[in-house]
Amino acid sequence: MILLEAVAAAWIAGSGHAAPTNAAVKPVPAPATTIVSESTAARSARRAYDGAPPTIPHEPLGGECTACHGEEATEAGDAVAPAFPHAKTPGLSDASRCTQCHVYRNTEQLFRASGFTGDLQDVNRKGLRKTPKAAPQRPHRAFMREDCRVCHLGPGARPELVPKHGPRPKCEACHPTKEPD
Amino acid sequence: MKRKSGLRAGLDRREFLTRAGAGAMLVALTPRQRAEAAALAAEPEPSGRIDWKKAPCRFCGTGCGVKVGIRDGRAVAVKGDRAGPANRGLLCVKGYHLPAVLYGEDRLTRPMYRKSGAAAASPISWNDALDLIAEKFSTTLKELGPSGVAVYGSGQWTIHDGYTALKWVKGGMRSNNLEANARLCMSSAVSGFLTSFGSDEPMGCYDDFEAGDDFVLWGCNMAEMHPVLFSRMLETRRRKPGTHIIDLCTRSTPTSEYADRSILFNPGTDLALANGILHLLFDLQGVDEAFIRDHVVFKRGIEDVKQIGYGAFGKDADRYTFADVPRPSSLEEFKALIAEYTPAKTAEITGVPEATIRELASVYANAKRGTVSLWVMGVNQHVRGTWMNNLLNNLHLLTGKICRPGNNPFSLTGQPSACGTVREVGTLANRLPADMVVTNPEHRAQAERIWKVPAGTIPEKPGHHTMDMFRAFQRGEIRTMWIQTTNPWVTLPNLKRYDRRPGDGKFLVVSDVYPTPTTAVADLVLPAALWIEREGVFGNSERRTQQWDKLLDPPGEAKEDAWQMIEVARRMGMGHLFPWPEATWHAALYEEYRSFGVGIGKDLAPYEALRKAPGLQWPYVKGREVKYRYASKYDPYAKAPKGGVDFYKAKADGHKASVWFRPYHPPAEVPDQEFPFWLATGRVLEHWHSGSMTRRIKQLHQSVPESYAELHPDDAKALGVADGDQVKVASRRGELVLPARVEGRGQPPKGSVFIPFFDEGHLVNLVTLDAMDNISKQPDYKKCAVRVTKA
Repeated sequence: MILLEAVAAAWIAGSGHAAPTNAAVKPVPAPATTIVSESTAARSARRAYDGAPPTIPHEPLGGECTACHGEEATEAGDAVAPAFPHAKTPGLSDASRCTQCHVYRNTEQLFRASGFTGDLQDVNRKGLRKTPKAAPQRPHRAFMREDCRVCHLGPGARPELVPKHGPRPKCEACHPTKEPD
Repeated sequence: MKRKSGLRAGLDRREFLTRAGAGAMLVALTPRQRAEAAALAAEPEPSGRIDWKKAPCRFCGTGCGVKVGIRDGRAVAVKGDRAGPANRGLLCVKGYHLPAVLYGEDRLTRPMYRKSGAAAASPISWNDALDLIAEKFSTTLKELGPSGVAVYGSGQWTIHDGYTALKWVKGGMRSNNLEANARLCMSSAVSGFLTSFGSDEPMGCYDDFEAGDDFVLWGCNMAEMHPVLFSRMLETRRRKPGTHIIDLCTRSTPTSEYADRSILFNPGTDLALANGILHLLFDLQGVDEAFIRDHVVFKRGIEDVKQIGYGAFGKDADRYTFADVPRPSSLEEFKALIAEYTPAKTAEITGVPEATIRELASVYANAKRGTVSLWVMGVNQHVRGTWMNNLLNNLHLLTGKICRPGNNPFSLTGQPSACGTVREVGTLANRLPADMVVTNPEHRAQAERIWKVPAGTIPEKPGHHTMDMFRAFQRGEIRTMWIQTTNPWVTLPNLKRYDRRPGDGKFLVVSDVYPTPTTAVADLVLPAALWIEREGVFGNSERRTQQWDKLLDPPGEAKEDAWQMIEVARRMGMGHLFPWPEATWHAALYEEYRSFGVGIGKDLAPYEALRKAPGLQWPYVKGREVKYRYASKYDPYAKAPKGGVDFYKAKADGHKASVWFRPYHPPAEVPDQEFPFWLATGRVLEHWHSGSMTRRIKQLHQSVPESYAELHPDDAKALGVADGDQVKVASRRGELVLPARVEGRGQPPKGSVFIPFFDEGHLVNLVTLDAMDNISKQPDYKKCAVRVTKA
């Protein structure tokens, strides 16, 4: 009985600890499911697994990658070049050679069939939460993705990754990393 | 939110749901909470549990540490290990796609035997396959003696595989016909280190990538071949303005784009360039006279090109057995000999302007700046590769820029355990573990003692070096051969020489993970466990030993290479060589192997220490790694005052390193009217070795789906060839047709063509020449003459 009380008390205590809302920020509406699955599918098509470097979804354009993928994202019509995400990664900078990890796709063919299935994001998957009301833990490590805003706020952020509560400082305070670096 | 209750802190989502579902606790919940609990239970489980386990990367010799994500018995992800000393969390595109290497649908999963005369191979049980191999090796030993058998392995062998092969071949079958493909990629560095310092492997380490000021890249495209180390160098340049990367090359590459200086030289003339720099060092007062007096002796060898040859013409084309004859020289004689490499003459040979040669000399001559020389295949796959290694060592010995942070000659390696398995274990025709050689009676006696085999077991005559081993197999002098973890029917130069059909009276066993052109010519094909499908140890370029545990079961009936050999040895009555219990033999075998090097400066870390670390450098003494060999500040084996240098492995020379005079010799074949182009072969970032693994990875294959002939735009125009057009590349030995690449990632200078070798559908080695280094017997894949025409 002591156990049950402790569980219930902790849950109730936890639900009362939601981060304070930021009145100045307009909440982003929840995306429609179809958009979510499309953008997640597009994302998955460019990666072997979550955490693998995405392949480059455009033709070689000449010039430096950081001309478009700079400190800020570049918007051109419907297309968005996301900001350079590794500026705070130890050992990397905008002077690094992007194509050491990000490669072009020059054919859709395979050399031989593969049975590899990577750990790819499931559109229905929710972040791991301690309790139903707790903020979800970050499902990936912070290394190489130190700058949350690149993927979660955009421009160019996938709608399902944009927090409903809008931008707030110190993501790590409420969304601790599940996975150690 | 800090959790105060210990109970609460340990309660995860799964537990919460379990308890909520147990019913009893529902009394404590409001209806809304109950509804939320039900909704949470209906959600799919957030990412099924992934276990992250350490391993070294399977590809190049950098030795990046990875954490492999395992879920439900399958590798589903990988991340760079931030504790990995080589990579500090970074990986290249190949490393990121490691897990997919395991899951090509055409993995070999059962032994397949092609009976003599049979059109196709059919399945055979492991037991029958192992019996058959044992019978073939035994019969050949009886009929032809130890020279009739051979084992050819790989720098991708684990230390366990390599040591098993060494003990079985040399200690069991009493044969020295044991080689590995590192002969084709690293052996010039081995003979370079041995002749210069009396011991293989570098004195420096990767810390030099942060400590150095000037990085001189001698014919190596690090941006594609050692991307993570290249990143470290770029980062150093960003953080430490004034850092210079100098690219010396025969083709402009992605490395050239990032270098501060990119300097083209004529193919094969790097020896003249190095001698030209050595000559100028004296003029520039760049030599460290005290260091030379205390730490250096001078030597010469056979220098007559007619006496040495190239290993590819006349009777050398069948057997090449040149042996150098060293003789003492002196500083005065050395200065007199290199006097002929004046800037004018060096410029004429190399095509590098005099002023540039002077600039390069001033880089080495500047005592205030740290200089690191880096090289891989450009220097090693070279008809005078050992000599070129000696000259690079000379540059650092004459300037005293050696054995301290940021000042070293550093040989990079191409395979994950070329150092650990081939060089340290000694899986070569003339070698034994820990720098020992079969030609030395004391070394043989020591190996025989450790192996508990009768005195006289190990023959003193070295076996066939790789090139001669395959020639001997063609001649029929070797009748039974086992190849593991490598693909010589793609990678040997002048491939046409080795045309083979199974059932020719010889017996070829090939162990591999996928079908290759090599398995296609085998009589018996065995499925091998790959990477994390078995426990193992690799050794990387900076003397770092890296252990991993078995993390997955191999597919089907695939088995570890070492196990395959041990089982055959048992069937041949040599089971006493492998007396260890099934459950712990990896640790036991390693500890026996380790005993060879303890106390002589080749001390590997104990197995238990390796288990706990991402990798540990040798010499590993009293729980401490040695970053810089031969420097008493770092290396307990070096006995020198004030942290000074002691080349303690060069015992025969009074603890002094050797500066060799090595003249420039022209390449074995040069372009002429009939074959007017230079051909160099090499690699691309995305593919590794012969491509049998990387081509089965979607992202890597889709980036570079096939090989190509990279041409200079002027040459393409003259040939009437546009990017993507088919061209025929022909030499005196063979030809191939493949697409031209005119605006590719690299650009060869006018009059030359570059072709990557990863593509079994476009075999560039049908065209290459099997000329080789006189001392290391490593073939030169970088220089031969071809004709290019529109196909």
